[in-house]
Amino acid sequence: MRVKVYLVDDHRLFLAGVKAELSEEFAIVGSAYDVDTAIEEIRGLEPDVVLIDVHMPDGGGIVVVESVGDTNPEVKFLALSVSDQAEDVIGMIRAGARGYVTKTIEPGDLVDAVRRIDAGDAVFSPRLAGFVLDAFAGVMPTEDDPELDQLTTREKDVLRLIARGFAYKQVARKLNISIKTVETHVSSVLRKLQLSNRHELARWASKRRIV
Amino acid sequence: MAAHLHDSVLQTLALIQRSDDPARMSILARHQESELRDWLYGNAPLEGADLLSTALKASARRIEADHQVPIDVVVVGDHPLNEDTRALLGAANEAMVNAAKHSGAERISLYFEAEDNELIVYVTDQGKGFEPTGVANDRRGIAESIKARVERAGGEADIESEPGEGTEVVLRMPVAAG
Repeated sequence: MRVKVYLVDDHRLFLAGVKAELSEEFAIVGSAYDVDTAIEEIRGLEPDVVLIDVHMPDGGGIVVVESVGDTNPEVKFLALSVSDQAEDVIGMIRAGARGYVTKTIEPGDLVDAVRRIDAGDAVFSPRLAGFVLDAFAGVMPTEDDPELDQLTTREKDVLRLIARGFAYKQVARKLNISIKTVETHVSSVLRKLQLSNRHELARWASKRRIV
Repeated sequence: MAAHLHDSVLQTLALIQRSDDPARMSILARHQESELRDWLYGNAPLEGADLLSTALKASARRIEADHQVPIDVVVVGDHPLNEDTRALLGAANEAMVNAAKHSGAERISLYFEAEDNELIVYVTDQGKGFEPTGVANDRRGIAESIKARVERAGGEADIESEPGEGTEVVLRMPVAAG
């Protein structure tokens, strides 16, 4: 069965382009230009993967991810944005998106990313990997949940290789582990990013406005 | 700044309409994009930058424009520019130019991380690579020059390459723990 994909972007031209690129591989079940329509239709259509823009009127992508996440937690989100500002990237992931790619991504890579998200894995761009390493750098474990506030050495190794531009397959080969293990590490980093309570994380993101 | 930007965006759009060279247009669009971002998000002008991260980004952008190959830059942490780190910057520039000129790769990655007692720069491409121990050639000569530059400033350089497997230049520079 083809993966059901829903698209949300207030930029109509861009949305039409993405639709054309993905329609051969996936069943595009619908699309929306605004937040309210998106929330309503995604709840009704229950797509497998939603490609979501970050900056839109009425609260933007974060509102959609959070609202749908409350009612339909099985719907997975991949953020697709022109912005690669740390606060947008980290904000979307913490709202519940399972990946973040920028709009300059090659069509073939976007298809791969959608497949990976559908399979329950996380999608990290090199930039996102860098942000995460930076955000968790030099963090002391807290008493609440020391595991959640730190990255393991292996997780850092994986993120560094992604930041250096290597695909998951190459990361696996370099570390002598399976692709599945790479995906497990990335998913675990994503979980830490989403669940870590450290308010420093949010502060770090808003402080770091350099592109 | 706004006037300059409007003008350069319009120029670029005009060029795109007249051009039949997609690769060149894509680089031009990228360049314009980063200029627009700097303006929108109020980044400091790149001239006179005194941080290694800013200097690396500026270099990458310039090499990208000169050689028409996209360079993806990821930076973790930062460090001030001084005599030693300028050597690191110079070596990174040489590695990027080398990759842009000779690797044939579609894009190049620059990754910089400032750790507590060490700065590390990786210049990675997935291009055609070369035989590091083979007979002297252009790329080998450049590799030696990159090494010498970093070693003089107390750092070290590793160049990993295999024909068909791309090239990665790793530059390390010790720093006093911060």
